Amino acid sequence: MSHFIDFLRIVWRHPSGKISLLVFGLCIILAVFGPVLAPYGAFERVYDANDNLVRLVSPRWEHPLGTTLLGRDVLSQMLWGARPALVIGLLTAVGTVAIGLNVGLIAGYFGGRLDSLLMRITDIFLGLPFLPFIIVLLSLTGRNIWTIIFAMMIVMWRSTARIIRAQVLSLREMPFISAARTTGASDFDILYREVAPNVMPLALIGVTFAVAWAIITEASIGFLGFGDPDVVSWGSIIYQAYASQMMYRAPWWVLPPGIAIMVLVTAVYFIGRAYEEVVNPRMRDIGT
Amino acid sequence: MSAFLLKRFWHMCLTLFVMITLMFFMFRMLPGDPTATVISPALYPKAQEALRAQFGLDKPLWEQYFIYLKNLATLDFGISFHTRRPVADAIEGRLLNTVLLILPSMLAAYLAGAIMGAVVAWRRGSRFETILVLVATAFQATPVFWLGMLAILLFSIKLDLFPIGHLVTPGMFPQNTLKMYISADFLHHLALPFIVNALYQFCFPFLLMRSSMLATIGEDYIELARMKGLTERRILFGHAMRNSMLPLATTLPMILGWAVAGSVVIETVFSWPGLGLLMVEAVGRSDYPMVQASFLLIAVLTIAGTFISDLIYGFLDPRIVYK
Amino acid sequence: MNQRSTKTLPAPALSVQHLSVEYATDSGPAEALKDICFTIESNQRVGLVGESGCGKSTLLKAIMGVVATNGTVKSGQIRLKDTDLLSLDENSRRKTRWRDISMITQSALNALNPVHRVGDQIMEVIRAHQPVSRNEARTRVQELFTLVGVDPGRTGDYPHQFSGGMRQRVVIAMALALEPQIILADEPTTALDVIVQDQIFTRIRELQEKLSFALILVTHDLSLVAENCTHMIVMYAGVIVEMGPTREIIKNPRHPYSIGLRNAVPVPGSNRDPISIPGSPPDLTHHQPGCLFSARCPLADDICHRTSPPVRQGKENRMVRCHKDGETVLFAQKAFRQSAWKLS
Repeated sequence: MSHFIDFLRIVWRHPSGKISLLVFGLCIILAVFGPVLAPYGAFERVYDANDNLVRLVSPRWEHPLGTTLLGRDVLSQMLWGARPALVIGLLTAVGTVAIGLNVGLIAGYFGGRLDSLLMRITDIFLGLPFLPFIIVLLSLTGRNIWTIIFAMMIVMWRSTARIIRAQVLSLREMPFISAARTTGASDFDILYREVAPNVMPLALIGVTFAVAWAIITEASIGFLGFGDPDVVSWGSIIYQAYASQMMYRAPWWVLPPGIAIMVLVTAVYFIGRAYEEVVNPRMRDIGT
Repeated sequence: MSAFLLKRFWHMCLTLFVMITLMFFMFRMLPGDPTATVISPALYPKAQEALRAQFGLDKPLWEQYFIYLKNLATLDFGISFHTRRPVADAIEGRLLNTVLLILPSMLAAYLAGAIMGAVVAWRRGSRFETILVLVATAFQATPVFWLGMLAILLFSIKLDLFPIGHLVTPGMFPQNTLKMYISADFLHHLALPFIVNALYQFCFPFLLMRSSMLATIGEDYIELARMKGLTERRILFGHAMRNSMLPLATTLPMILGWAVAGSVVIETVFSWPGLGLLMVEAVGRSDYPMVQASFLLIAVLTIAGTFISDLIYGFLDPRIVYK
Repeated sequence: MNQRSTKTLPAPALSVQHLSVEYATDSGPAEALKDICFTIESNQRVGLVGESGCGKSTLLKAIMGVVATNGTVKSGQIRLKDTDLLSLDENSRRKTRWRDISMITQSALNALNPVHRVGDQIMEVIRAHQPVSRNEARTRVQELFTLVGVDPGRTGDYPHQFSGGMRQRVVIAMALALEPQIILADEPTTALDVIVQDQIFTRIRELQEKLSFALILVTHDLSLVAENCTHMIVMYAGVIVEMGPTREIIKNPRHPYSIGLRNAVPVPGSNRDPISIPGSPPDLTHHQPGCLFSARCPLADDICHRTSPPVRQGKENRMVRCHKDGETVLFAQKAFRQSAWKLS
């Protein structure tokens, strides 16, 4: 927890980090209150006084961002869509790093055969083509938020594991670790009380970049038609616009979700880099 | 060094083998009968059995697996559920199309990224740097399909400068001939997806080059080059940039491999008939032999990319010791 | 090597007048060099000594015109014969670099670009300043290698293929490439063992006598200066506190700081232990009135703390900047005892 507070403080002191945190905070507020603020339901179709579907109207006072082919209010969909984007992004990132962190810690600390085995497995996952694998998996397991998060986690932990392991390898030789060993502390204690806190900054960097990746990937999955059909996310709004073949006549439908993703993910990237610049100036942000 | 090479190669083969096996059993073990689409339960049992035999699904699982492996060794990917024709025929041209889109756009992204990253590091702290970093990150943060849709909206529909998707104008060329690939029409179709993919991929090499350059600029030999009275240009291109290229060279193959995996998205937006689109369509039709084959090919390219990157890294960086 | 007044003599090889350099730092501006004045004739070998952070390296960088981006030359002149280098535009300034003043750098490993052949790195500087063909430049590089004692067949090797001493010779060859009037040497042998160090300095001295360039040797090692330099400059906290012929200063130092430096060097054949000056140099970001050494000087009194010491010219072209110039002779006699450095 103290690591997380440090994280926020460091990012807040960085000029572009501060702006990005504000943007991210705004998105969280939207995710929490979006459904309350939204004038219409996520899938609600809007009819006018004569009971005609209000379809594909351009932005106006009643519909600030216009409506879709099926008569849904784009602003409302945007407000509903913030929550899935953030929930999927954050959960995937935390899960990803939790797996990667543990694999990296164990492989780096114990070394030997266990290390070889874990690294061989990591290598195999590094060879998995990212999106193709997720699509195949989703086509077999069915599409809902949880399978999507699960599918992304399965592929994304690999780079965190590699980075953490490398760090643990160098930490293992440090005097304070051997000192802990001489006091008779168990491997488990040393690993999670002494080593883990020292790789937390790296793990937090991993979390931020994983959030960015997960949000983009969720949108891509939605665009390819493998998203959760019962949930409106910014990615699925773009997919609906694309699939309807109407987006070229209704730019108001397709612009807002794309811009929202772009702004949110850019902010996340800058948060990660602001922290990285302070904590680990040498590490390079290799994606997932 | 050759022991290291051999070991990496063996690991690569192992990875590939595990992936083939994983794919094979995933389709047969996970919920959902993959054969349901091709062998309708509504058919007479006799007809069902005949179909099953035709696709080799009547044998025990492990036997199917060995037949599958044996066929793979001869590059026989089986018969498509959808077209009922050999998968290998469909895949042939698709691979080339993907390479023709991904390779040039990645090289362009790397070239532009290297130059701009170097210039920006050289002019550290300038407003130009701030803006370019923001723009590059924004492009990386943008879903590439949305960028593609915007490009089509703007350049194809509003301005009518480029065709909307596809390899060439339909009906203009009878087959995938060499003549087609060197035609102006092909380049005209290639332009938009090329630019969009390059913009999306630009950020990584750009930032990598920038940080690499910043480390190089602090080196003594850069100060010495200045003391030697060399021109700024000469120092930038002859000394600083060249020494900073190493991380770019080592990452290029790996990122190329990842970009091939990412082709599923960019090819879908632009209806570009490559491996990625083939796979998305095949998944949509539950055409599993086709999915397996296209996935495998993409995986081979991804793994090969990582393998080559590892090799270059091992050869170029003497600090890495391989046991 | 003196504050010249007569105008009839030919211009000195290098003349630095009232040079001040300031760095912008997080805790405010730091005055790295304050009112530096000295001249150097060709044929002279001048040692520049002082603790690290005293401004030696900044002075070299200012002369080369490569002060770091957060540093600015506030005032002064750097004259090379009759040209004021600081008044030149960037392009003309660039052309003087290496052609007129070159440099033997601190660490030869880092100074040579690891991805280029050493011969190419020397050819590059020749061709950047002279309109010669590749072949002519290559021949010149081979001559230079012979001159400094490196096998001329090794011009195609990369830096990491050389031993430390050989690499240093390559760097010396590079410094000689354009036959400059002045060569600056910045701790040229710190990374080398004593025997190689000796070989290198013998070579530098021979070359200097043969080619008659002026040499400025920056070091914190007083014994190197004593062995190799005709003149010396002692710097403290960005100020020149004493200068003159090396022999005179070693024999009879007049600034308390010079006395302290001399006592810090072990003397061969003597049973005296070397002692160091207590305390540390002042923080340059805080402007301090009076003599900058006063905080560490056992002779210091009110005047020293309040007013800047005057420049005193002495016999044999000596200069010292100290209020207590008369008392230091006495102090020098007892300064080898640590107790003498107790502050009053």
